[in-house]
Amino acid sequence: MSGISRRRLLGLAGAGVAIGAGGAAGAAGLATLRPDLVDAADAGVRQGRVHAFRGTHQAGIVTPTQDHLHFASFDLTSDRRQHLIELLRVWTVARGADHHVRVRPTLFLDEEGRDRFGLAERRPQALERLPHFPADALDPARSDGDLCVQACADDPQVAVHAVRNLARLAFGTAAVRWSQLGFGRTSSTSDAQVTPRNLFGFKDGTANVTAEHPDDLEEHVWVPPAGAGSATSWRDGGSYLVARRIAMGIETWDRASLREQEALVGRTKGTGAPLSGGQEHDDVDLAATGRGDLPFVGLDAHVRLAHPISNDGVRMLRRGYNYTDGTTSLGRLDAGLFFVAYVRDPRTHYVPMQTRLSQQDGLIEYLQHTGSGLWAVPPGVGPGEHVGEALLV
Amino acid sequence: MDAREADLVEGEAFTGWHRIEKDLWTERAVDYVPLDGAGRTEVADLLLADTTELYDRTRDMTFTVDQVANGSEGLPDEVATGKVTGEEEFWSHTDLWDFQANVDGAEVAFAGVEPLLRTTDAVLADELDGRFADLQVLLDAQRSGDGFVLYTDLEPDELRALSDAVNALSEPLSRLTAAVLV
Repeated sequence: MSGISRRRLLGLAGAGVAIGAGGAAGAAGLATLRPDLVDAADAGVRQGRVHAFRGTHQAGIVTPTQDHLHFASFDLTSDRRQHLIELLRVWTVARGADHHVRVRPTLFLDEEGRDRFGLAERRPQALERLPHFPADALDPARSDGDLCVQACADDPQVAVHAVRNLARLAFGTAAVRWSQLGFGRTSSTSDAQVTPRNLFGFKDGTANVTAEHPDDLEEHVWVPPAGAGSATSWRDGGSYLVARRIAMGIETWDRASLREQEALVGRTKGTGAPLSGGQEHDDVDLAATGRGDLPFVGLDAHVRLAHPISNDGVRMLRRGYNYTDGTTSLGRLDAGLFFVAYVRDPRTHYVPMQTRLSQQDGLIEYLQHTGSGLWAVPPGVGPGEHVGEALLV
Repeated sequence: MDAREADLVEGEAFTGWHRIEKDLWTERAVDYVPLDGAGRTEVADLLLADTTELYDRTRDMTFTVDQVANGSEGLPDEVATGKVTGEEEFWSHTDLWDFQANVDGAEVAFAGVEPLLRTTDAVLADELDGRFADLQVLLDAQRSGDGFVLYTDLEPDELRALSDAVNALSEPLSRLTAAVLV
């Protein structure tokens, strides 16, 4: 607890929560004062689904996706670099669910071009706000933010609690800008997981980059070393997180015939097999044609346009969730996909593909992107370190 | 011809009806310089040329029964997606004109297959006649002069009623294709 005065301790964290760089002291503090949080953590451990926080890469990317998500974006309310460091330290120590921290371009230079924390020269070029894609209807109140946290758990209360706790720890340094609850994972990050379904009723995430393929992870997900002495080497071994809140036109989708739905996706609804034949995990044959020489998988089918073949071989690690946020003013279900993807460089691995989808995908008629964010994910945390330490040291 | 400004990729040319719409209704346009005479002529000529080309390319097209029936269903869906939400006519708020045009188109397509439907499912045919009529009553209530009130002048409950009527029409309409292909 060196370097943290009692006043700052109480000012930052509220009454009684212990802060420390060392894991043991922090856990003990939490155990004394937040028994419900520790119980939740234990519950997670009993289920075997709380994952090691420290390692080469941050956890929560290739770990098998849990069932519930609480994603929160924070704006920093303090300009003091020391406050930022302390916040990241505090968050690193807090436990309870798998939660992971990422940073945004505005951390380096904010909207008015101010370098609040003396970090401008360390901003990677890839960390540039995503461009407007055709038909985007982004709500600024649901987009962006300096820092974000992804908390996942099989028990929804645990995920909610994790963010609740981190938000409280952040009072005085950062404030929640927006958050999104997600239920039901829409991707598998392990070959052992069954492909889940999205709210269109289709299996989602069949051809995902999974944990069992480290070569694919190296090629598409982890940021390669920037080179000795580079200003951006703090993110080597990290990744980039793209988050998109994609609203679905549930009512109009439900009126579409099964054939139309399958044609738009490019897979069957029942088993998720490609329309070109085979089983769910068989490769799609984009060249196969049928009656009238028309391709089985249409030119505007989602699976064709998102395929690596159509996108210079790039792939993403997807880790999205379904969401339903009540009802709109017109009585429609406010629901969709909270899309989350991890890539090594959004300029090559996300922007071209999303541009193609937004322009050509037949599915886009039933979708609307209403929120967006891009964050850099620092690498894993060693013993005694806090998240993002290499950036702020 | 019909792309809204929000549908464009950064750097793509903005042409067509919505381009003209923006130039005529500039209140919501930010940092916008109106077209001069030459600019207006260019946009208008291009729209005319594109429309003529579209017309020419569709003269020899034929449609199967299911395409016509699905087309009838697709038009109210479009209303649900963009016109009842006011997103189509962002500058002018003339969405109700579009709304009426979509309903007219759906009725034309429906009329094309109705004789067939009357032999396979007369109950559905009566239901659809009724729903089209209900929706038209609500639209007629929003007439103003030889057109309609602006989207922004609708009360929330009026908008809600229109949206509900579109749903009430669309749901049975989604069964049209299956009924005529029996």
